[in-house]
Amino acid sequence: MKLAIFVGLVALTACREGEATKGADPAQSASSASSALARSQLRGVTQEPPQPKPSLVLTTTEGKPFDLRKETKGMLTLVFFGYTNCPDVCPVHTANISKVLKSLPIEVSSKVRYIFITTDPERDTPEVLGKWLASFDAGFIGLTGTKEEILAAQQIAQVMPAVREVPDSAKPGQYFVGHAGQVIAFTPDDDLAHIVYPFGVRQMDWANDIPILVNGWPR
Amino acid sequence: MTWWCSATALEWTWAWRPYPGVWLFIAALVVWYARKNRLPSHVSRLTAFGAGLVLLWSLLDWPLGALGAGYLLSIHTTQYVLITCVAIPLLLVGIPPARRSRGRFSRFMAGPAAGLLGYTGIMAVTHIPSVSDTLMATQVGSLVVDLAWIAGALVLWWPVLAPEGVVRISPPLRVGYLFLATIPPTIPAAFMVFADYPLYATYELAPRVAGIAAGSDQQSAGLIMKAGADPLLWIAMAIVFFRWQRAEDAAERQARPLSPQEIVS
Repeated sequence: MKLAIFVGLVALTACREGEATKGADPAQSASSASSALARSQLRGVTQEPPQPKPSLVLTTTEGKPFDLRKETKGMLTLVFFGYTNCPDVCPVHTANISKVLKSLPIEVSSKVRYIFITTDPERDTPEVLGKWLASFDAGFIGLTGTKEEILAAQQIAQVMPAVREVPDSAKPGQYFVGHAGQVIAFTPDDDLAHIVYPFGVRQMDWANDIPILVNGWPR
Repeated sequence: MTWWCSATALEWTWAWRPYPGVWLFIAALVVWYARKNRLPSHVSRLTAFGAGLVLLWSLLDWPLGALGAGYLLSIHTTQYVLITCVAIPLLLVGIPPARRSRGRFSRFMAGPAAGLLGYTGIMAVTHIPSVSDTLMATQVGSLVVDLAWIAGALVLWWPVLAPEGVVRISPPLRVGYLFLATIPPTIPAAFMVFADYPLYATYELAPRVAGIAAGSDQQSAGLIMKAGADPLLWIAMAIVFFRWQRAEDAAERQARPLSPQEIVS
């Protein structure tokens, strides 16, 4: 008897699901199919659950406070933690994003904000940071703060905290900073990072993904 | 120990690094040449072989070898052009006359089709981005690329510069053959110059050297591939043509009967 009731319930549920599918708006189905296609075309690494845009207030290279959530609202926001003396990851990521933004139509590139948060505030003075970023793109935003603020920012942004490596005794003042290598992309519609871009992402990948992401997360 | 230059993703420094694999390779060529050349050789041949060897060594060893393997596509392409159009032709010119060889293989190698197809095939495969990125990441892969380039240059130049005694194509055919050899590099060169974004991950993601951007490095590489190689091939065409003309004139002079005045004088 119990089995008969169970089978009956399953059958009823299946019928209702069938009806629901039959009644679905074809335009909505097509839209969700195209979103799924757009998502599958993205070349970054998707993260589930998506990460919320952190509430951060740091200092710009002009010495003004910068509220990340407020200042980047409605923009595709690419956040990266790095330092200007970095020999490899930071200049390559920054140069690649800069090159791609220059090659994209203005209506796309104007909806993107690249935020570079220094992990080496000691050497990356606002002047050094500003000059370095301007050498790639005058529109890039450099943020700095105290060591404690930077550490807190990394924790809120859920990235591996940067570690200053032991300086080379032969070269006083010269040291490397181990830091997270991924660019976190917060989409403009929901301020969530559904996707991150680890080191190794290429210009052609950015050129593919940015035009999709400026319109929000495909859903 | 690093035996052969390959992409390392390490920051570039001007601190010298040894690559013993390159030294062994060059030493093997010296030993081979010395064994083949027991009798005192013609000075010009020896000079040509020596110059080719020194050039090959400088292209494969630090710093050019290391820069080309993992940092700058423009240097990688310079290596390719100089190995193909200068180093290997010099080595071939320096090889002493061989015993007459007219076997099937020798005739096949002397054919323009084999030369052009072999050279074009090797050039095309070693410049496919996915192939190049995979090979340049390891020492063995990078060695394979360098040896493939040397092999490609040998098959290209064999019909023109094979040692005396070995079958070659006729001088007018050589000129046409060398002209045809200027065409295939146009394709990878055009891709490099006109691509919207960098084609090779190795050079795009490498730590920058002297602030040279990946895009402009790639465009320079494309220009070197075409504008660097073509003049070298034109020079070779001119040399072949004028030598042929001189030989024809000399043959004509010998064949012509002497005039009475020439006999009297």
